[in-house]
Amino acid sequence: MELIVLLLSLLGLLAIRVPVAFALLISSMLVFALIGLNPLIAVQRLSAGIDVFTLMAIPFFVFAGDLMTQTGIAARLIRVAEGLFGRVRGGLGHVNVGASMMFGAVSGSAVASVSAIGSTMIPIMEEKGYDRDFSVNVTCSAAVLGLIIPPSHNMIIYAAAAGVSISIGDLFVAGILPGILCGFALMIAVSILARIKGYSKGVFPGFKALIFSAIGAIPGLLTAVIIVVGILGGVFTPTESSAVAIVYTLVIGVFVYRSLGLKEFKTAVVNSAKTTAMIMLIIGAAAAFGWLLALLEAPLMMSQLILGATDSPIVILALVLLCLLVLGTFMDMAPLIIIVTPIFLPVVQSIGVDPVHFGIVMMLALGIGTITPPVGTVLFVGSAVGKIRMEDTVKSMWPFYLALILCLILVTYVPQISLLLVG
Amino acid sequence: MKQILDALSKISLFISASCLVLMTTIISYQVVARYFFNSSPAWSERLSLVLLAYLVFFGAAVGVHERFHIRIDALRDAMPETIGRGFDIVANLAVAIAGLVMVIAGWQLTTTLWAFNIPSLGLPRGLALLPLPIAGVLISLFSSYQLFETLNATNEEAA
Repeated sequence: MELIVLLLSLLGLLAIRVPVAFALLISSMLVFALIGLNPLIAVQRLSAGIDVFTLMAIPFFVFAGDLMTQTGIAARLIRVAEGLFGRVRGGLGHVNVGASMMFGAVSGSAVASVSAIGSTMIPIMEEKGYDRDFSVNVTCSAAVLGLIIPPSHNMIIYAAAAGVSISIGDLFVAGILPGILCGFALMIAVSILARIKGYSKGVFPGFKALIFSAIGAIPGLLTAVIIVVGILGGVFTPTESSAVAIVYTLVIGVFVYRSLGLKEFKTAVVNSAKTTAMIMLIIGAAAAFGWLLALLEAPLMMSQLILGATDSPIVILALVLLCLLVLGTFMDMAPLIIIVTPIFLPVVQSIGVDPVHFGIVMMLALGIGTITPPVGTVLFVGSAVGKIRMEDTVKSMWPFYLALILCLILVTYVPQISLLLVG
Repeated sequence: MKQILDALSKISLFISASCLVLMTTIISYQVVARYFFNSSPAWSERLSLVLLAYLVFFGAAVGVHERFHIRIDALRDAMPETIGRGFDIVANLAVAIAGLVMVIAGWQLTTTLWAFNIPSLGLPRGLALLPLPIAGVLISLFSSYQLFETLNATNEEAA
């Protein structure tokens, strides 16, 4: 009963355009009062929810990504991708996917990726005769790869929400192969569509140009190497590695790329502070909401429901996947990770799924949710950058949904794809 | 009134952004201290976590004023303007009330925990909770003003 009030009040508040963080907080306060507890507990849980060491890496990764965007790295990554993929049919589509994958490795934010790559690539693609909806489709779906290619601040949220000890370094490494797999899948989709639509081939700029552009991009791409190797080698904690990434980006932005001035620095600081406040307030509010869900025994009910329906691990995983995909269409990624991890992780662990593997599955499933209506942050930003209506983007998006969902199924049922590189 | 609120929002944003820069400096210093001076400062992570609270809550207040918090526009946009206005009024009121609860709860937490110290920092624990009531006041103010603006717009059209 209380559970129904909690969910209905949340949906009602979301429907009348109360911001997600406040909708989570207010519905929690309401139900705290309803079950005779002090609604002030909600605020206490909100504050406790962000008072977590691990989560401190989030503002740093956001800041490093924003700084990296300000250095104009996107243009360099696109040049490398052009050298690599430009000459095949539908080349610019492949360039887009490749550049987004590399951008994911330097920033880890899908929204940053879709705006940075999209604002450069979409106009170029349109100029070369690609349909605008196709360009936006590619940009949005490729941006999702940034969520599983390390570093990824959503993985840090997952590690913090899991309750059991999960190494963030392991999660980062586990994301590499699934990220590459999805990249290939998207490129196959691009190839097929390019053939159907008769898109042109690009020209190969020559090895010399390719090597030159690669040299230009390497200092930026090294960020990901520093972070992953630094964490795995025990040189830094994840939080430290993200702070080091900021300092490193500042150094290459000022001295190597020479594109980072005081103005760009200020823009990055202000944007990052806003993004951090937005993400962390949602995390805190979701923590309060999740605490209440646990109090109302929702995780227990859910696991009884799923485990009672079947004892086949394949079906159980399919049910969990379905739940993640459906929830992902309605809700933003960060609060969902906080809320559903304590619900689903024990269920899948009871059938022997590795928590690191499940983390990657969750990132990909909820990542697909960021490009599906009605609530899809990446889809919103991508459509805005491409100056096209969200409905028009979605209409022609299905080949890319299909590619990503096939990958999701593969990644879910073949744990080796995630765990092969994890030591 | 609008100028005052804009100024308050600007100051909050400045506090929030400064905290981000400070946190980065502190944690970078921690790495440098460990590898070059062979000593890990005990206070650095604790202090950063306190700064994070200021960064988040002051930034969250700015988000209410600048309306950058994630929200779902789909249904509001599909509604006729009069019903949409009704939505806005309820939504603004709800956020303002949430702000008030933040003030009350935040103030209680701050004063209760003021007597205790943050380990290895020597600062009162209440200091980490203080941004909660302050941001609560700001959030209520910003949201009430938006409520007032919506009501005004509705009245003007009626007149």
